[in-house]
Parts: sequence; structure tokens; C-alpha cells
Amino acid sequence: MRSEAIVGVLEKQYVTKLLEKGKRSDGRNLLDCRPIQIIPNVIKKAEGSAMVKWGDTVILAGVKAQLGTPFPDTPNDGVITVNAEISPISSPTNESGPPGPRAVELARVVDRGIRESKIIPMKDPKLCVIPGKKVWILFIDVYILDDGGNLFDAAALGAMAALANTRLKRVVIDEDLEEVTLLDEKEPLPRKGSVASLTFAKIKDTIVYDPNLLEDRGKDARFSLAITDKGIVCSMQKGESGVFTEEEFVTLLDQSSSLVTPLLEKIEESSQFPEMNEMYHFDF
Amino acid sequence: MSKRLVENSTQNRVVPGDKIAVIEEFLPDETCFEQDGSILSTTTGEVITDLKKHKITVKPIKNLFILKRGDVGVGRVVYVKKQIASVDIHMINDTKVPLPMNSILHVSEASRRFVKNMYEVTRPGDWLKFRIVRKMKPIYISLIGEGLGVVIAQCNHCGHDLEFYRRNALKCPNCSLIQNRITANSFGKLVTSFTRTSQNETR
Amino acid sequence: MTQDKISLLLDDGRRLDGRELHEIRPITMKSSVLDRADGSCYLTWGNNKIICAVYGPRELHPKHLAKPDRAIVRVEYRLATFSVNERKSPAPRRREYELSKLIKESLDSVLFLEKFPNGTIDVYITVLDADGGTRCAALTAASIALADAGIPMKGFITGCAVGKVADKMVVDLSDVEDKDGQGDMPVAMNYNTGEITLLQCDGEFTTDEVKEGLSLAIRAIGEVYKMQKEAVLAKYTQIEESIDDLGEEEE
Repeated sequence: MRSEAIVGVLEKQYVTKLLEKGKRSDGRNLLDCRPIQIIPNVIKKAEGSAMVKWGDTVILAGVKAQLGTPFPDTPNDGVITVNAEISPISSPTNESGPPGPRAVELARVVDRGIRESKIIPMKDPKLCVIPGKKVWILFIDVYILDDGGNLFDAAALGAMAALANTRLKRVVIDEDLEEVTLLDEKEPLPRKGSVASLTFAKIKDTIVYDPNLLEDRGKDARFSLAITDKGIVCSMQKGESGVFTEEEFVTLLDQSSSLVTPLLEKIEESSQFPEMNEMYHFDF
Repeated sequence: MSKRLVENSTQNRVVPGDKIAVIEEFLPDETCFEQDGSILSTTTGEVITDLKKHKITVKPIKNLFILKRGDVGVGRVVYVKKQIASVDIHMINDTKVPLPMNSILHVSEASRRFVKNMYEVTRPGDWLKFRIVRKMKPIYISLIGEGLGVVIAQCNHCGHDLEFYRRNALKCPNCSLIQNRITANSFGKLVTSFTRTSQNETR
Repeated sequence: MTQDKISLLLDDGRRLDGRELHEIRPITMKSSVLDRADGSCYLTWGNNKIICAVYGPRELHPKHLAKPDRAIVRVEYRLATFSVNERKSPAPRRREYELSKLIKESLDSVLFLEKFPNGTIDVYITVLDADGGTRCAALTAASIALADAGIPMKGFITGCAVGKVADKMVVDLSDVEDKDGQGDMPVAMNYNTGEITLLQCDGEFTTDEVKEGLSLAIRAIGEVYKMQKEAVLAKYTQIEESIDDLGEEEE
């Protein structure tokens, strides 16, 4: 909306002037992260779920699984898709309707981080039930409930935490009839490590980690990268119309390993939640 | 949020639809309504009664955004004609307005001194600090007053940010052009804190 | 079929989740949960989890929808994709459109819309976890969010469903009772004035059962209404706490 765009000018002026002095609007250092809280297993009807409060950003991620046919080009692989909904609940500027370019980019960046890191072994017999015929399709849906900036990292963390808590129904295969029966008993989703995303925003000549809402709106350029617990960079995305130099990317990559460790620890912490947690409760 | 809110007793706190009096006792104002001889609250808040004037009102816990005469605001000029300029209001009293409101600045309200036409006052794209002189639509604003006028402006020719040259004149550092504006004495220093941007912040 | 119906009640006359016939599920409500919304509410009703945000009164876009004498209310009721047994497609379905419309019409009756000409009041409801009776819970949450946003209204809309399970009228159906029971009748009303703003029914009821159901629903709505009031007034406690915090910081 117009007001947002133009008040953005004033906001940007304010953020830029502060950054020139090396300060941020919420008093953090340039590479500090806001407090993060992960509440796992909050939705009863979902196979796995997590709520993430990243500063004042609140997101809810849920995993639904259903048996379906695999894609013809990858008949032996399970399927994973990420869908993001920037709900109109989250901010006065987010309008309802089909997902816009912003939501699609968010979903695809989160999707790529999880897919390319190969932390979910798609060929595992638990996921690929009957090769070429029946595989598990995992739908990860991320709902943005309160937009306080840095949706990329919050959404990636939520999706990862939801996967870490996902339990699929045990499947019994009838080899002759090629039929499957679902049991009520559940078992955890196979997982080989975890992945987390880091987002930097460049405002004029200053680069900050974990942009808050003011910085997110005033940013010239954005850079997100996903790193696994083995230190492998599995996806990167530069966004917005601003530019970065080679040196800047190099410094950011050097800084990334120390920034990603606390996030990965948070994921592991939340997945060690008692497996049969039936509380399904969260609060704001 | 004032401390007075807390010091009041919890007894007279009401929610919408609560009966607060009967019509024989008090005159309801816009925070209450009458139904079947009773006065009911329309909002969440505390009941305040004036026994002398027989008035009853509910002091709301959350004030809706209401424009008042004399409020100081910040806005951006959309277009300029000989007699008037159209200005989008973006902030009132350091609070962001919920959605853009459009207002009109007439040349007679631009300055105490004589100005020939609006082009000497402002140009499209300028940021103005103004006060409200008419709160109903169409909203009228004025630049007459302490600290009011153009606060940010761009060059008519090259679009570069203008710098202060002297009172009511600005200079472009890029093309050295000197241009007329009615400047505020805080020209170029429009930095406000944006800690809260909600429209309903208690003012 | 008959066996199914009987199996919805336990031998001791209680319901599958251990409730009495006329007992509602545990409810929690919290207002002002979102930073950016003008008014918001998070409500849990049994296993239902509903979040509601209100924006407005604000200028309406597109402008041709605006009414010069009054504000319009726009309601969007949505189910989260993971809130139901089979994953729901993210696009809204017919059911969601219908419920949005019913909720809007229900809220219309209590709002003073003529105070905000040309404006809009947007109510967004997302059901995060669904377990029967979401439309009543959504209306209850929407009223709290509207009151939280400071929008003038005549009173709260409170909802509660009644239904018929194993030939008995029961209050507040769960998902299983809704699907396998004989009938479901959501009711919503302005409890203060007794005006019923929403009444739907599907299933088999005799006229006497409908009458009984209505009186049961009104009694249950009275209970929920008390909680609604507490939830809205709880904001004073929040403010008091935040002032206390400020005071400590200053010291």
C-alpha cells in the first residue's frame, strides 16, 4: 500500500542513520540474533509441527503426509513440497488471496534448503513404500502469523523443526496385491542431520544479520544461505534490487559457520522432546 | 498509557454490551447507546459519570485513530496546481496513520507572507510538516505555524535531495539550482523513532 | 448404523471424551496476542485452535466496494492445510466461503458500521487445528478480537453447537460426534440481548428436539460469554503488568 511504501522512506532514513553510527533500531550488534523459541508438536491433526517465535516474528509450520504416486522421473523417491502462506493476519500490508511472488519465493527458498541438503533420505524404504508406485508425500506448510521481519530464517527453522518432530504411520505392504495398510502406530521420519538458514540484509553499506521489521522493509539487498550441520552450503539466494561485492560474500560465508551453530542446536533440542508428547499446546 | 487507568477501581470496567445505567439517569455519549431504556457500553473501558451534567461516558482502553483539528502531521505532496496542492497524510503526531488520507493545502494557508502561487511553496514529491485545520473530508491542512513547512525536497531538474540555502530557498548540490520552497525550520531533520507503528497506540 | 450411533456414548452415559451430555470442552481465550494486528485473539476450544486478527477501521481498497454511509466488514475464515485429517489444499473451498459469509453477516448485526463511512473492518480467522465446532469458536474469537481492536459494538457474539448423538441432545460436538452423530446445530447469539445471529442445522431433529437444543445452546453460550468477558478485561491486567515492568526499569 502507498502509505507503507512512503513511510518506508522515513523509516529507511531512520534505520540508515542509526546504522551509520553502528547501531540498530532494537539495540543489537550487527551480527546478533533475536531470541528464538521453538515449540514443537503443537498441532494434533498434523504429522509434525512446530511454532517458532523469532523475536516478534511468529510462524507455525506443519507437516502433513499422505501416500501417493511418485513423480515419473524419480520413481524411487519420496516427495517433499514446501508451501508458505503469508497470512493477512500477520501484517496490515499482507493481503489475502493466492500466494504472491513474496510468498512463492519464501516457499521455494525454504524448499530448496531442505531438498538440496538431502537430510531427508528420499530413497529410504520408510519413505519410498513401493518403488515406482506408492511413496510418502510430505507437505510442509508454513503459516506466517506475525510478520516481524526475517521471515526466511524463521520459516526455514520452523519447517526444519516440524520435520524433526514428524512421525509417520507405520505401513504394512501386501507384496502380491501391491496394497498397503496404514497402522495407527507411528514411527519417526528418517533424518540425517539438520539444516538452518541465515539471512543478511544490506542497507546502504552496512550488512546486518537477522533483519528486524524496519530493516527488512528498508533493506537494499538480501542474502540467504542454508547450511547443514556438516557445514555444507546447500542453497543460497540473493534478493532485492541492491548488490553485494565478492569480498562481502566471502566475509559473510566466513561468519556463517559460527552463526548457524546455535540454530542447529535449537533444532536438535526441540526434536529431543519426548516422543509421545500428546499435549499439543502452545501459547503466545 | 496513563497511570490513572490503573488507579481507577476495577468495579466500573465494562465490555461492549454491558448495561451501565438507565436512560432516566444519564445522557449517553458516542461511547454508549440506548436500548429499551437502558444505556449500554459499545466499547471496553471504564465508566466515568458526571453527576452534575448527567453525562455518562466510557473511557476506552484502546483509542481508535481519530483526526483532530490542530494535530501536526507529516505527508507527501502528490500534485501541485496554481491554487492548491494535494498532500497524502502519512503521520499524525508521530503515529503512522492506518491508511493514506488525502488532504488539500490551499495557497492562502501556505504562508503568512504573500505567495504568488503554489509553485513557490512546494513541488510534487516534497515532504511537508503541517497542521490539520479541517478534520472532516475533505481534510484541509495549513503550513502557517511554528516549525511547519517543507522538510524534505528533491530538485525539480535532477531529482537530487536539496540542501538548505536560506529561509524559503533551497539549493541543489548537484546542479546548483536555487529553488523556492516554504521551508520548515527543521528542514532536513525529519527523523522520528518508529518503535510503534500501530494505529491504535494510546495517544 | 444403529451400532455406530450407540458407540458414541459410553456405557455409563458419558461421551467418548469423558464429558457429560451437556458439558462443554475446556476453553482458553487470550486477546492481544499479535503485535501488528489492531486486535487479535487466540482461542483454544478442546482441540480446536483458532487465531483471529482484526484490522481496521481502515480505508478500503478497491475503492468501488466502499459504501459512502457505512463501513463494510470483510471476513475471511480459513482452515490451515494441516488442521484436518487429509491435507486440505491451500486454496479456499466452498465451505470456507460459506462460513466466511455467515460469520460476516452474524458480526454485521452488532457493529456500529455507520461510524466509519467508506471504511472497512477486516476480520481474518485461521483455524490452526480443527476438532468440530470451529464456526462457533471462530465467531467467539472474532468478537474478542473486535473488542480488542476497540471497534464499537452492541455486544459480543458467542457461539456454541448442539447436536444429536445416540438419540440424545448433547452440547458442543467434537469432530467424531459431528461426523458420526445424527445431527449438528450451531447457534450463535448476542447473549445480552438474546438475539440469535446464526442458526444452522443439518441432520434429523424433531421440533421438540430443536426447541430443547436451542435452550441447551443458550445455556452453554452463557457460560462461554462469561469467559469472553474475562478475556477482554484481562487486557487491563496486561497493561498493569507492563506498567509495573516499566517502573522497575526506571528504578
